[in-house]
Amino acid sequence: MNTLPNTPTRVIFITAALLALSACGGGGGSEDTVVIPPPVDNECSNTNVNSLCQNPVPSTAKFENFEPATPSVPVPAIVTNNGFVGTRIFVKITGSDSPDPLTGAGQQVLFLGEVSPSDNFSIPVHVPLAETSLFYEVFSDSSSDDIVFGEFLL
Amino acid sequence: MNIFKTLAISTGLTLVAMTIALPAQAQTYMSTKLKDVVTSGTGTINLFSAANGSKQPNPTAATVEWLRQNNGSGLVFAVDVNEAANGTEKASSQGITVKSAKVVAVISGVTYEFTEFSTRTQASVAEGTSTARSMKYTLIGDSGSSRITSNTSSDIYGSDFDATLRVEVPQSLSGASSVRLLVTLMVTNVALGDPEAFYDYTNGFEDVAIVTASDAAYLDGIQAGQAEAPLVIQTSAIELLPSSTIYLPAVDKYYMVTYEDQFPNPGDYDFNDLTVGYRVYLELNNANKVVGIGGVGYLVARGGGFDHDWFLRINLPGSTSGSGVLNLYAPGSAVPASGYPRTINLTGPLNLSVFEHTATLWVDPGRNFVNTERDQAIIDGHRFTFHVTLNSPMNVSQMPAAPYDPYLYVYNTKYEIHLDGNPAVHPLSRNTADGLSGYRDASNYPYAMIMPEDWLTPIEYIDLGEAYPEFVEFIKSNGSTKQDWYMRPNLNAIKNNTPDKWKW
Repeated sequence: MNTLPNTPTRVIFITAALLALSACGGGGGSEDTVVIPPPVDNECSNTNVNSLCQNPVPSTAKFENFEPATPSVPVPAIVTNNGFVGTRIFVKITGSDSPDPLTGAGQQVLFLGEVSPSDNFSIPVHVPLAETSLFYEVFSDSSSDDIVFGEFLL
Repeated sequence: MNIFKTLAISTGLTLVAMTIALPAQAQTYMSTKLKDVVTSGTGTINLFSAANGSKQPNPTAATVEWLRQNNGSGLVFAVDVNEAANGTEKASSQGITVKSAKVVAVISGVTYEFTEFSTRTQASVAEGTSTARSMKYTLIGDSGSSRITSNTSSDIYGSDFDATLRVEVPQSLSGASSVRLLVTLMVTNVALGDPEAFYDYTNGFEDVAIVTASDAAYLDGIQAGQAEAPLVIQTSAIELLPSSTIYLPAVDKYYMVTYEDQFPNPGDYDFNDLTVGYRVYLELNNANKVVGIGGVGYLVARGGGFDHDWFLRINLPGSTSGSGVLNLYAPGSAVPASGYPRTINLTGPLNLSVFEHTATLWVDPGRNFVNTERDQAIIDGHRFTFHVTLNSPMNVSQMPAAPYDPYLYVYNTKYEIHLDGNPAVHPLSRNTADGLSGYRDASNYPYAMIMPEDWLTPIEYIDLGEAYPEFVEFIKSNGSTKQDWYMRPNLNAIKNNTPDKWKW
């Protein structure tokens, strides 16, 4: 059964529906049909003072929420100074969130793996701007070696 | 006929018949799911008792001895790793640590213990409350898979067994009256986070099967769950697989890329026309060179009516080559969608067409959008994974910077939408022909942004600035203040589609 009202009300209804769809991202269409969205009135109708349309920004505005960082871990010094006996050396680099003591969840690992014991270790990571420091652990394959913890300030 | 000749022919025929019969006899011994399980971290598994529903009869001493010989003087067990998918463990990757495993056999009234065991993977983990880690054997798997072995009569066929545990048994078990496998899993110090949190065990039971060499090789070959597991160190020295991984942005955190798809016209700034969560990992060899690239992601919201393809492009150097696979999974499915996995033949930049025709791929019946309307129930989105092995190790410094180039091709407009600074690359797009080289509107807002995982999509038609009152201040300060603006949304303006809902 057709549940739409009769013409011309139906035409107005359909037009309104298409406009509503278009405003939030278009109303669909086939691959072969190019549908250029109708020009949108550039006047901002949103009166919220925090809305983007009320707040044009300069062309130089940045929108990044992450920043690159390259933490470096002094692996040889740590291995030597702590008298490691293990032959395989591992590094873990994490964000500042501590793991849940019961489940271990919540800690954000940025790097985990085996590294050369004879070279400082550094890698590129990508961290939220709000992060102020990163942490590292150096450990080995030997239960005689305790984990060595450290911190990088960003 | 000479009676001796008759006898010889008869004997010969018998021998031929026996020779023909032997392989048939051998094939009657197949992998068998056992009745006992590992539960609460321990298991005493009777090898002579098949599980209810097993396709095989109860194994006998002859069966076990045949399997021992078949596996080169050892017994091999398949384990279905069945952990609670919490923390860094998830349905697609779970792990446990084996503290000890031994086979105990009673032969002619004498008890023999065989304690030398191994698995295919190891990790350096700390036990109990210790803060000292050491190498331990691990078992890694995933959930919900259906193993397809060559022999449909094997209990491995159609099962979700994951990894293998091998116990060396140099002595014949043909006369055994009892053979048991005793397994103890390790309590790891989960307070340290990973790798302990991943390789812990919960109270869930793990199924066990005794397997043939061919089924063991099959399970070892698929390496279930390993691509997403932390610190996977292959036990075999022959397999020089990577043991180090860079996680971007983090092991269990995702980039949220979100779009306004009206480009080049202004949108409504709700930044939810398509939202995808994705992360990438780089596998390093022991020389700290990149040998593999992988990723995982989900469709999170679709608040636009246009039809898109979503791509993930990593602008690798032109000399890069490699091969791999792209998988797509329908919501909640552990089985790849029809047409997947797709082969990736990498030459130069990696350009993955991941979510194709989003308007028809992901639909909430009776709704125009998915996960963006105020009164709309949240539904799972599709999931993708990819992994590429590089033909030649590459310096980390040669890798382009994260978050790479996640972009949208909009069928309706034939425009593509990238993050700032990325060129148009889609062969069908009109960006270049129309002289559009950037992705900012008249108010200098972008059409695509990367958000941290904690960011939640605004409800349909609600301006991002209205949903997040500190966002504009953050932008106007050039990112120097309110850097965690996304942590303080207007709760009435965002869809509470938190990561625990869309990561399945």
